[in-house]
Parts: sequence; C-alpha cells; structure tokens
Amino acid sequence: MGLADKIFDLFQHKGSLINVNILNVSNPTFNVEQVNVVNGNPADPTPIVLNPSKKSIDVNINALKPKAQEKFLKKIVQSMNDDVDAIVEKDSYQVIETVKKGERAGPIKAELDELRTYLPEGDMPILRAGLVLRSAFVTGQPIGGKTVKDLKDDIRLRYGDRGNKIANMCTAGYFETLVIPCLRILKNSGKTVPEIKKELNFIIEESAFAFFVPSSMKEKDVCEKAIAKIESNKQSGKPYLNVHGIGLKNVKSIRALKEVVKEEYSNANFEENSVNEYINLIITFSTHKKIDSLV
Amino acid sequence: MTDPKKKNKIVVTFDKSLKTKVIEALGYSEDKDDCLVDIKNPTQRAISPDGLEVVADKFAGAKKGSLLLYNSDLPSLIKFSDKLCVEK
Repeated sequence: MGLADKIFDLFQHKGSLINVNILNVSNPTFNVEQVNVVNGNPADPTPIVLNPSKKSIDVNINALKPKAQEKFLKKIVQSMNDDVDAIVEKDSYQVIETVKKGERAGPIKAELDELRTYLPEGDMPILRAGLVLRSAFVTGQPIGGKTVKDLKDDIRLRYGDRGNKIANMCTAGYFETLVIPCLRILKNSGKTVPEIKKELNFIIEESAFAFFVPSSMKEKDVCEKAIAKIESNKQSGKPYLNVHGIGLKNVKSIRALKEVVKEEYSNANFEENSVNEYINLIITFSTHKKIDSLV
Repeated sequence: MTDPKKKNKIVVTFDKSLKTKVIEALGYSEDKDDCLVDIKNPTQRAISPDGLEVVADKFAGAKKGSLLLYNSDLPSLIKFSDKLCVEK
C-alpha cells in the first residue's frame, strides 16, 4: 500500500477526524508525486484536496485528532522505507525547486556548463549558490522566504571571503557580462586550461578592487568611475586598480583612461594584457595625487 | 486507487509551523543548544551530510536512505537538491 492509500485509510478511519464523516473525496486515480501537509483549519470540510494536474495532494493535518496526527506523521516517516523519497519544509522545497529548475535548462545551466572546466572545483558550489542569489536579486523577490540578504549571508557564512567575492560578482552581473565573454576570448586565443584557470582566478580574487567596464558606459564615465575607484582602493590600502573590459569600444575607452590616469597621478605605472577584444589594464599608483602647483 | 505495483518517489512537504512535530516523528528532539539529537540517545547530535550539526530552527527536511537530515541554508539546500535529483 502506497502513502496516498495509507493517508486515505487513516482519514477514513472512524474517530480519526475532528469532524467525522466529512471526507467525501475518493483515493486519487493518478500517481501521487507530492504530498503537501498543511497546518490548516481543524473544521476544514475538505481536509484532502486532490490536484491531478500537479500530481499532488494537500492534506490538512489539523483536521485529524492529535493522536491521529501523530500516527499520520509516523506513517510518512515509515514510508521513507518505501515510496517517500524525502520530507521537506515547504519554504526549503521552494528553494530546492528553484535550484533544480534553473539548472535543468536555460541560461544558468549553460553558464555552469561553460565554467565547470575552468573554475576550481571548490568554486562550483559557490557559483551555484551565487546564481540562485542572482535570481532573487534580478526579480527582487525572496526565494522560499529568503531575501537577497539572507541568501548572501548563507553564502558568506559557508564559503567566507571567496564566497563573498563570487556572490558580489553574481549580483553585479559580472559572470555573464565579463567572465564568460572573457573565457570565450581566452579559449579562442589558444590559451591552455591552466592558463585560463589562472586568469579567471585572478579576476575573482581581485574583483572587490577591480573595475569591470560595462559595455554601455561612455568613455568619459569610464574615466570618472575609474578615478573614483582608484581613490577608494587607496583608502583600502590597495595601490592598484585592475580594469577589465570586453569589446572594441571598451578597449578604446580603457586605453583613453590610461592617458587620463597618466595626467592625474604621478608615478602611475601600467601593465596591459590584451587578447583580441579583451583587455585587462593594471594600474599601480603612488598614494600622492599630482599637485598642479608643485609641477 | 493508485497502482500498487508502481512505486513513485513521493516528496512530502510540510508547513514550517509543523516542524517540531515532524522532527519528533523522525525520532529526534532538541537539546539545550537547539541542535537535533536522537530521542533514544540524547547525547548523539544529528549531523548533516556536510558534517554540520542540524539546528532545529534551521531544519529543512530529511532524505530517505540512512536518513540524512539537512539544514535550510542555501548551500545545504543545493546539496539536498542534488540528492533528490539523483533519484528523480
């Protein structure tokens, strides 16, 4: 006897229900895949609701007397030796469904598949969590009652600084706008897997102090933002800035930035790494800004 | 009637407010630190597949087999989803 039949047996058993003889549904004719146990109204006239399209049944446990409730839950646990795969709290199940749905097909699956070979193994669970976080961030909707902050805290608590970096990159959209396009360029340029791994690791590690140029940004804004970032890095004791850009327009903007920084900062040094349409400019600078009156 | 020969993999979900009752039905209770312990052996704390103690307040559910218990933080739920996917 499967779980669904056991449930109906229990509910139909005289004396189990708070309101006897109120159950007027028959056992499901479909194969039940999900049973939702809800804590509803004890006087519920329909304590069992069949959802054939979802292959699920909703069961209001509160329609049962306390002893029968205990028996009901015990039957579920016993059925874990038989046809019950798992017992999951409803909100947590929503998170699980989001993960499964996202990773089964579509852009998240594609991103994970593309990055799997080139990220350290330990980064994959972080990235998977980061992409769930990104879904909540993009929609502005909590997932299974978890807000963006809750999800970010979960990642940070489990994975520490590396988790924090990857989580921030996910919410900033850097994986789809920078890391994957950069990966494709590096692959096409004939770089080896270890070389690409090293480059991606560098991008992640330095992400907090880096400037990823969005494709839509104008050259003037690139320069302004980069100067602001240099100042912010100086405050954090980081005398350098990594600027990353994809596409010919960004390559041009970043080269223009180089000239602006030369003007603004004394002793600024530059290291440019570029492959096709990907550019990484490392700017190292002194902590002193050029003072016009002394020049 | 469902076909008794056809064994489904049923997932049972429960409301958060039923958490304590579900934990008890699984054979666990809470100790003074809010960690789940075996009712028959209250010094034995439940350990998740990640090697973490399972906290009552964060209890997400259980998976069949050697009864794996999970916390509700995102990394734990991703691992839980992997276990469900494997057999689905």
